[in-house]
Amino acid sequence: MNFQFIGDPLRSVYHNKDLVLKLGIRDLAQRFRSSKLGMLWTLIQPVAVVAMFYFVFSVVFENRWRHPDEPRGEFILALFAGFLVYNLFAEIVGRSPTLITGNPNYVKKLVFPLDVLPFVPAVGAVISAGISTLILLVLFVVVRHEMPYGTALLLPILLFPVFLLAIGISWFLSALCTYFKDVPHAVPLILQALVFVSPVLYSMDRVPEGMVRDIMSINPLRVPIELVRGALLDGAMPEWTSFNTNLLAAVVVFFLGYALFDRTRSGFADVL
Amino acid sequence: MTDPSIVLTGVGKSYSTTGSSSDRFWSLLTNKPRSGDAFWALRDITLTIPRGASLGLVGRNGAGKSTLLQIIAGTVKPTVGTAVVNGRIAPLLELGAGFNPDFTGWENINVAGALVGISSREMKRRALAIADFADIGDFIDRPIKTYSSGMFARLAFAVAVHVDPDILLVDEILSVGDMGFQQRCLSRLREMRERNVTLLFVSHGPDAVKSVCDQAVFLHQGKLLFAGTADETVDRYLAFIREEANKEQLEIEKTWAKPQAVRSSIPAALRYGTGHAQFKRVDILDEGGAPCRAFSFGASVVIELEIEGFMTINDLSVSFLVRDGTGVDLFGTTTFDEKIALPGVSPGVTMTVRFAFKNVLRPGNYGISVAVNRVSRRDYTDNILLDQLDGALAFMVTEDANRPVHYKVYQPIDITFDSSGSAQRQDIKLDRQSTPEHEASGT
Repeated sequence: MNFQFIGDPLRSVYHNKDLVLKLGIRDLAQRFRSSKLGMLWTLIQPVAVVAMFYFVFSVVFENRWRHPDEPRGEFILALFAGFLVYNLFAEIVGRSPTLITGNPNYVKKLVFPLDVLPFVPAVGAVISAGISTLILLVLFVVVRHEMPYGTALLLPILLFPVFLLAIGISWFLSALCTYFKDVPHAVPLILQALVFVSPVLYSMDRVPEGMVRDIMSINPLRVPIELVRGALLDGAMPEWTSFNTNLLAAVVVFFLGYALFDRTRSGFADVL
Repeated sequence: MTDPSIVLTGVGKSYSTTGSSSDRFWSLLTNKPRSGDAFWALRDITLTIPRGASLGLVGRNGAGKSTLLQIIAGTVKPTVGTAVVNGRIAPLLELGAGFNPDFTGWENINVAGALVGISSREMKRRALAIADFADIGDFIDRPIKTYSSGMFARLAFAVAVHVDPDILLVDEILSVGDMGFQQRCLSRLREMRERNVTLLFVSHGPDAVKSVCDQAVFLHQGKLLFAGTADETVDRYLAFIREEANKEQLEIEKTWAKPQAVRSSIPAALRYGTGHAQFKRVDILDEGGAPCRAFSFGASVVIELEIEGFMTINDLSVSFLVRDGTGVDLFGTTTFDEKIALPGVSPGVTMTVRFAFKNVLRPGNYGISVAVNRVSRRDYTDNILLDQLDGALAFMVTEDANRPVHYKVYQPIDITFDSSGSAQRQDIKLDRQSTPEHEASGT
């Protein structure tokens, strides 16, 4: 057993950082290049999604986040914080099915460091997360009439495990999608289901105690969502034990994903 | 000369024709070889390419040329054998493969630089040289999708040769772009060779291989059939293609006897054909009919060919072709194209054909290839190659201080001029030898 796969992904990304940044920015620009509103869409999209869910759950079903008499804006803030984490994950993982299959030129005709491909959509995802955070902080001021908590500065640290997890899963899925043509159909479905089984639209307290809550707690997005919400909306310091466990799990997924990708990449050119 | 640039040892590549892509996945994951029928795209290739060499790859579609390039580039792993590559490879197996159509020329140049690991600052400096070389004007500011295929190729080639590779792999480039640009590409390739860049060049155009490469390999059905100088290899390849065409035509015309063995031994670089009619004697003569090997400008060159029949064949076409020292085909003709009806041959009957032309070549060494074909259809669809001798004859053209020829071939030219000082216009015909009628004639 060699443990090369621990150093390899880090070295590869560091070595190709220029390329990743350029391709990432190009990727982001390409999405909005021919559109009239351009980069404004990175702002419109998260707002529209939150507005939709707010309409269904808060306006139609008359839900409140915690107390029946809290201002309506509280629900929006909580939704926004949840989507901040979820979107970072989904924007990276959602692109994984086409990373290899959508770039046959990179595989067959260029000498290209394929293992950095998951980081390319990640550039855009991180920028969107930054924009979403700014919107959220503005909304916070509007709803609460007070300045954001200092714990909001912890956000990059709290999101780091989500980033690692997403990259690891992206390696795993992009390799799998190249060999198994059914997987690309399943990925969007799973991502959609993830909105509902993660505490994005509700807080974990609302889930009945017992087996259901226990199983849902395993979801690796649960901890980051709760910690981000706590830090942004309650000014709460993260519980470092759960953060560390989550980080460890993300690191394991990151390296396992790379190991599988690295093991199977030599066959990409044969099956494309 | 230091260590070789590329060393291939027993390289083979097989693709499974029955296994699914999921089988491939499990075999990679568990590290067990696949079952299923294997198709060998490449077999047992052993090749050492020295630094600074320029190697052409010729062969028909599916011969394994692209697979070989992919293995050298590292995008495909060989199933057996090893491929050792020393030096930085220009990562473009196909020019412009990394380009994104929605982005401008500048933006794509920038990304291409990052692909080979050239820093942004360095790339900014080179971008100007690239744009200059591509010479596509304002289009450099527009998205690549608005480019014509020629402009695309220009930019792609410009990028590939400006990223300082040690090894440049080029898969069919010179088919696009206008003549001026092709010339610039060729001279750039030569310049890179002088800087000891190793060049691997795949082309279907034999002339391009001859003019760019000094060595070449001929691949057929994944195997290395021949390796040698570019001229030799390309001629073998062309011979092979003609033999194949012969086989097909002989299949259709079953009345023809089995191919005949070569009866006369004429020294030639390469001889092939069915042998139903053969050259018995090939000679190069002066005006007086005496054997001659050196000609000055304007002298008559006579090629005399004696052909012997081994069965009755009408519709004969006899041809010759003059090649320069680098193997480039210059001129020649066939009796069929000149619409000359030859008497035909039969067993025991020989025929002599003479081609004569005025020497208009620049001083140097030249070779002559001759061929005899059976053909009656204008589109050559029923062509059977009976006998071909590549490099059958050689001659040289001597310097003539009174009449220098600066370019490959002199062509009679009318020159006129006007002068504003004189009222009358003068038409002056150059004092030159009159070109004679074609002297090729039967019997």
